[in-house]
Amino acid sequence: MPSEDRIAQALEAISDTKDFFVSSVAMSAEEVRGVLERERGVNENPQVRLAHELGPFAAGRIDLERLAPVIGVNETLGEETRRKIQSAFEALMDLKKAGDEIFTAKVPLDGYLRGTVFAALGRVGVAFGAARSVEWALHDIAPPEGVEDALERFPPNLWNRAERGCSPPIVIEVEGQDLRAASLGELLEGSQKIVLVVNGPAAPAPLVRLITPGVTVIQTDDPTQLSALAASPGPGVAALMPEGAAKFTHVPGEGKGLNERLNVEYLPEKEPKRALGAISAFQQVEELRQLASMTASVEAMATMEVESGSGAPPMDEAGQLASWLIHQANFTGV
Amino acid sequence: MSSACSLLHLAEADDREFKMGDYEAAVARWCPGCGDHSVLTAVQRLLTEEQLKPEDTVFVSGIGCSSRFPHYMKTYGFHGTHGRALPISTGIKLNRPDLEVFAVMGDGDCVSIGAGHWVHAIRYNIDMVALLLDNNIYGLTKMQTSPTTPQGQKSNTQPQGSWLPPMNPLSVTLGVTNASFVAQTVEWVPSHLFATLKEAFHHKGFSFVRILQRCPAYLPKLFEDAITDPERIELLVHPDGVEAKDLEGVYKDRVYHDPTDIDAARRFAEDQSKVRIGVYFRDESRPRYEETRHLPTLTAEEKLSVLDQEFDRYAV
Amino acid sequence: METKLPIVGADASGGKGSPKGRQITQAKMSTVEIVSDPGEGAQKCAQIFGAISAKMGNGVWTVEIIPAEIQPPPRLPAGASGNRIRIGSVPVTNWGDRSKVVVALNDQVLLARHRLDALEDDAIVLIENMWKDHTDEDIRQQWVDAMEEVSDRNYRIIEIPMEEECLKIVDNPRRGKNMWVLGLLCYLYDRDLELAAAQIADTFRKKAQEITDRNVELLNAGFSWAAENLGFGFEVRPIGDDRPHVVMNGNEALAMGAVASGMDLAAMYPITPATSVSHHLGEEFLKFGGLLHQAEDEIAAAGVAIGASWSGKCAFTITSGPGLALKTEFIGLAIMTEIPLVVVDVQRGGPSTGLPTKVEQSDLLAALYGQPGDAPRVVIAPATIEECFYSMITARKIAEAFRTVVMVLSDANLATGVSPFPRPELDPSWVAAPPDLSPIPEGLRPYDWDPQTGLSRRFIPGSPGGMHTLTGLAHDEGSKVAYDSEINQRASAMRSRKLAVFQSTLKPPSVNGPEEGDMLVVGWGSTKGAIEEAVEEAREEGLSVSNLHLTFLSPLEPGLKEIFSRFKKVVTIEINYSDEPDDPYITPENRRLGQLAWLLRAHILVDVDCWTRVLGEPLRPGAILNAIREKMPEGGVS
Ligand SMILES: Cc1ncc(C[n+]2csc(CCOP(=O)(O)OP(=O)(O)O)c2C)c(N)n1
Ligand code: SF4
Ligand SMILES: [Mg+2]
Repeated sequence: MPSEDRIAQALEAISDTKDFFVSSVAMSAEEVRGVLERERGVNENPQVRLAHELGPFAAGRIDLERLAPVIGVNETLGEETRRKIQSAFEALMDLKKAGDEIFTAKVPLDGYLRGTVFAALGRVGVAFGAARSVEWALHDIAPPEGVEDALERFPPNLWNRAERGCSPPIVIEVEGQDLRAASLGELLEGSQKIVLVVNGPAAPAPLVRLITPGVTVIQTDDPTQLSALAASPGPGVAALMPEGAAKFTHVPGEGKGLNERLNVEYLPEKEPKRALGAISAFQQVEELRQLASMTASVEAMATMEVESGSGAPPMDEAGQLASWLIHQANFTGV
Repeated sequence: MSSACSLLHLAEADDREFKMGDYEAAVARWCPGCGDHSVLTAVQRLLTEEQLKPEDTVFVSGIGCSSRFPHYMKTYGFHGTHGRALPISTGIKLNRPDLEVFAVMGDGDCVSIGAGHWVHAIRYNIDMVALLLDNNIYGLTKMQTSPTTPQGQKSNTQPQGSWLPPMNPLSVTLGVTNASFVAQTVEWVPSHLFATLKEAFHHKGFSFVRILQRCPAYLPKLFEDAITDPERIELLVHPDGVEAKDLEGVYKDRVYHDPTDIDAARRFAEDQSKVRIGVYFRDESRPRYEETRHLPTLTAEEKLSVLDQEFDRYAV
Repeated sequence: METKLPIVGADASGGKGSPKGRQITQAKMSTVEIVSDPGEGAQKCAQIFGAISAKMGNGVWTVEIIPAEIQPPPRLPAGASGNRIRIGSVPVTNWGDRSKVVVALNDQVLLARHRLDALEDDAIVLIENMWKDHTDEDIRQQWVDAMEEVSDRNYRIIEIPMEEECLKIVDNPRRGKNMWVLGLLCYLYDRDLELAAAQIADTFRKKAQEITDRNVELLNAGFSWAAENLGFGFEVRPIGDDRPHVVMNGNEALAMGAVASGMDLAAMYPITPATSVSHHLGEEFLKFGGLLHQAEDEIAAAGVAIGASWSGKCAFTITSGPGLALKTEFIGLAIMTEIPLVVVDVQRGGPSTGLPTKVEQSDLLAALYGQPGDAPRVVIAPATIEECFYSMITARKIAEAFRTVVMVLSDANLATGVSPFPRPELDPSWVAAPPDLSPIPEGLRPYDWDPQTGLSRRFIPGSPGGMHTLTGLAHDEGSKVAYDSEINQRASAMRSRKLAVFQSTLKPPSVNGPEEGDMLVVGWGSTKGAIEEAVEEAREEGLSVSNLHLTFLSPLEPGLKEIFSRFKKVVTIEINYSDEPDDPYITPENRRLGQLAWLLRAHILVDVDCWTRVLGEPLRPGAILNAIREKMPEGGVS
């Protein structure tokens, strides 16, 4: 399938999150418009503005010269402040109009995956940068250290916790040989969703390294499976792989135990023998084995449950113990 | 998920930590011993535990003693008109899904004058919490019969004793299509009250909690039995409901009830031989009305360009 | 209003295929009706006719003739259904008096119009003749009786074999006769057939091409038949206004206006004649991200709108009489708590269920005072369909700026009338921006009334530091329940003051006609067009009369006393009930007046007279003219 189609499918899969973000941009643009409306510029004629706001029904009926001072038409914004807010407003409007392409990026051949994702998020992140700029302008605060032009670039390292909870999803096209997934780990925070559309030969289980209890991880060649990514509230990553790769879903919302969260649909038997670009064969084999061992422990737990004759809550002690052990053994820090 | 969030709101760094006191407003002016005091404390504890931002939390009420509730919370409050807390709450949630909304109603408020709204609010299943503070009497207006007043109970309007059997708010709620969370608790067992509120708060949908509430001023004997004799109380327990482990010692009568079982829930509600507390029913899969508004937000410019296209249809 | 202009020669008439010697009547205005049993498509025919006329640059006012019964059997006067279309070489502002031309698809629906005195004495009646020689003897007899009954007028009755002609093209003329009639009317009024065909294509755009083709064939056939058989026609010249126009009814205009104002939540409960606003909104809002909430009743609808308004952008609720009654308590709450709210009342006949589909202006006092307790609010009344659109934009802005309830009074006349107006040039400043959620400065209170104006900043949930409990109980600046004896007096004054302040920003209304004279007619709302037409006609007759139309009813527009003092007599004309001065028992002391007359007397201490009717129909300019003649003060004829 041509990669444009797969990108379209990837975008479709995250469309709810994307639409939410775009809606939030629109809502924020409207809020900034509200600020500009309430806090009029010093040089503005309030009557002209009021005439527009009230529309033709008021024309000839309401005396704007009298009304304007009564309903508190402030003249509080200095020229400079107003200009800053106006620029932020325009940045938001531009993002709103930009369309899908701001949610996609491509890793150049032999390029650095994390760098591309970071840059792409920095570009859509301008939405946050613009919102911040309004705050800074209104309260006359200088932008914090590290911020150059928040209306050009506002990358994820500058986002606060609340912003990360509303982060824009991103679709990244990448060659299999450049798919160094582990580098994405630190970006998978808040509600960040990343979809990788993988072209060319790829390792069989590159996303295994990203499995941690709170992160949704999906590796598949079937775009319909991406819906689980969109449905989960927390961070998540999915890769649309070429044929032959492992297929699995790891969905935190499915339960506390790994056995509930992880579902391995296909585990390739053949271990890779050749390096892919800078990804060594050893590393590829490691990843595949890790997935295999997780699969095995999941199956073991399933048997335990069957033997103890219950699946229904309250969870039997063995199940609780197993899930606790797995939680302790594999993963920390979530 | 609501349809959008304000990035400007996100931009304000917020590292506040809220203590109980941050949610306390005016000193509550209910009668000493009134059950409303316990509900207030439990709710304030809930907000503290959930760290709800006071400015993003709204308490809506009708008119009645219980409806004074919002005045004692340091959140936004809307002390409306008798019986109409639910339409107001619905309007708030439809416009501002980002706000946490709690409706506090008395039995006259909810079950009598507001009954029509109550039934429909259950069906709308908007994500909010509705508390019925049921003291089986009209308190504020000084002891008139309420729809939940026990049969035979004398009041100022029915001095011969309430003629009709009381209405059962739990069965009514459970009978309404699209009910999604129904629980009952009593204000004199604070840990159960708190645990129930917590479940209600975390339920996605319209969480209806009937709280049996003492009114020492007008019906001092009403719940005496249930308070003094633990055997009168039966706990419905379940990991998806209230487990009330701490109460094992006091309330021995515990029934394991799966809240997805609506038939069992209805049977439990119907049977009045015990005061049965816990989560009767919960189902998060029910459609929520506010989701009909899951639509893209448009800027003014975009709106007007769509409107301009609409005008094409009317152009001559 | 019509002058006979016998024109000889086809080229002068301009009509295609018109016979030589066709008699053309030039008219400033002409009114035509199409009536049939329900389901025969008279309304579609009329809508298309109205649309082409608007496209050709005429003034147009179209109004539906609604059957009195829901599912009437065929051939029953009570089932008469269709439209009246009034076209003009000037803008048409009302439905007119009586019709010049009527196309009746049977004798019984003609009777219905005859009995309502809807037709001019010398009206041209174009009637389907299939009933005359029907196989059913009863039907033949009904025809005879009907013709007998209408013979007291001077109608020019032309029997037309519509069925027979249509059968040449379609098997079932019940579906299709309307388009044949459209062709006939196009001939009579010299309408552009290509425009008509295009309009038909647009009407049936969702159906198969065949359907359009068949209907265009019928159109052409009707036109040709008329060209061969009718030796007359009308000429109504275009107005000569080149601006682009849109054509819609008042309810559509209200809905579009609501969208343009940026209000994006409407709560309602279905009630005629307001409901169709919600039909349009339901559809529109899907595209704009708004929400139409159909509540469980009108009380809840008001509550939902209030909850929404309080927590954000101003919302609105829309209803008609009985629904307004139910919203009363909530409107009082909104006023007490100073929550902006727009309430639209599309008035119908009352009290109680009244005349659900018919026009009245009987809710004025209810809109102004229909609240226990003192509850000042703004009341405005759009007078035209165009104003229905623009009034919503102003209403929203005023509601928010003054933290108050704004009632918009439309009525069934505006709701069902269809008329063109210049296409609005949309302005993004109309659209409400999201409310101010910035932190509330330390020390500011939720009702920190400016002691001069009574205005204060709204505290909206989400604003840090603004937490308070809003209450419908009497309260002080801090929204604390009033225990102090003086607070209620102060708070009442502050709520009232806002009206005075708003009034001080209103301009005095303008007088239509000479600034002084014998009589000033005062109206409000949808009667404007009919009143102005009648008053202008009266002046042509030599009467010294002017008129003034009020848009703001609360607060009242300024300067009225002075204006009234320049006229010998002031009379309101309204569609609500008042006692006739010479009716039994009625004395000047006990006479109950029209609602605006009450209001004006109370406010400006002037002896205002009134002439009102509740006939379940819009006022006819001719009837108003008669009233003016009767009410003229002694020696008024100059
Ligand atoms: C429309 C209306 N009708 C009646 C009242 C009077 N009223 C106020 S509270 C109340 C009943 C209160 O009883 P309940 O709802 O059980 O609350 P409680 O005081 O017991 O907490 C009544 C009848 C009112 N305020 N408004
Ligand atoms: S009257 Fe009853 S309900 Fe009201 S405050 Fe007193 S005890 Fe509580
Ligand atoms: Mg009570």
